[in-house]
Amino acid sequence: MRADPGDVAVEVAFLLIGNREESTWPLALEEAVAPFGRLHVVSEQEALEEAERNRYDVIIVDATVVSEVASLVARLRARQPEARMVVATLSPTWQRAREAMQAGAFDYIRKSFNKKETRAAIRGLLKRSKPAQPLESTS
Amino acid sequence: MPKPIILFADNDANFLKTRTEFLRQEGYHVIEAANSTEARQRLGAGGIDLAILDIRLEDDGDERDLSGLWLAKETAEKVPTIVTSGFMEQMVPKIILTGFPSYENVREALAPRVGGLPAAVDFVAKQEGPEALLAAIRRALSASERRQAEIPVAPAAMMAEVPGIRVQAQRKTWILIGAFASLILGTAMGFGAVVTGNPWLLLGALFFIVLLVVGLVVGTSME
Repeated sequence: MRADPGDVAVEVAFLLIGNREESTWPLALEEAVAPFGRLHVVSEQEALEEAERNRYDVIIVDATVVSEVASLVARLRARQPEARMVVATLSPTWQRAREAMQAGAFDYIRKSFNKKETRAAIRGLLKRSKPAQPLESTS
Repeated sequence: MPKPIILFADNDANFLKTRTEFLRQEGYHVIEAANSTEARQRLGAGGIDLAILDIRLEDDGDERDLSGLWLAKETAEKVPTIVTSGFMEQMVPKIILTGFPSYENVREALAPRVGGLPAAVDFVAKQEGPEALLAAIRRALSASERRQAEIPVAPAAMMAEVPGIRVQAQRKTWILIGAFASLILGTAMGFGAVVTGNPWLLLGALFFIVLLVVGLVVGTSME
């Protein structure tokens, strides 16, 4: 049985759907999540296959490099219903937040390059309850 | 088929009147609430199929007023100590409505909370118009019907896992243990009063008999 990632003693498996070529954010995120576990980065094209292959506790979708965020979130959620899925963006809007969360995202956050801020957000995320069944897709 | 009962809470009287009339024309039974206190009371009274809560239920000019959102969160996280009210309040689907939408408020409304459930099932901006609200209501009610159909009767073992029900069962046990202790003490004191003729022992015996009766009545009437 998998341990609850809310327990900080457990190594958490993070998956970032983003751009590996982009050096700044994946690196900043990797540093921020280091005390909790390991980060694996894949592209949008590789995301579904990776979600079929390996289990993750936290899946972070970088909305700035993913074309159809809500659709990807829904498909990832169907493959890994236990994962806490987070959509991160540089320019958050309430409409996109609604879309992402109704598709099954656990949270919708502003991308931060500040290690402390990101670490606090990750800690908060891990302490929260596990996701329930996905919300009915209402859009 | 009975009309679904919708609680509509908004402190803007004109907006509330307009939307209420619109929803009544669409076939819903609408109960109005003009502030968070009224909304809380209405929700607590039960019988609501869906609640629409404006975020700023107290003061539209105050951006710190999140009373409608807090009400949704409060009821979503409520531990049902009395099965017939708390549990039902928690299960009423809620739509958050606002004239001042922000992504932070969407997160607060739709992010899963304690128990994995979000505070609300949908988030609608007033600017989207009555049709968007109507569509959200239809989706929420139909999803709620599907959920209810999936859980026809909660088995006793499953209900025992609901925290409030467990608390209720523990209380019942303690009350009945108290009643049993009162029976023993009352009998002992009564016996002592008869043997010694001490009026204080008689008074004590009467006290424990009253406790016994109250304990039995309360304990056996609990679900």
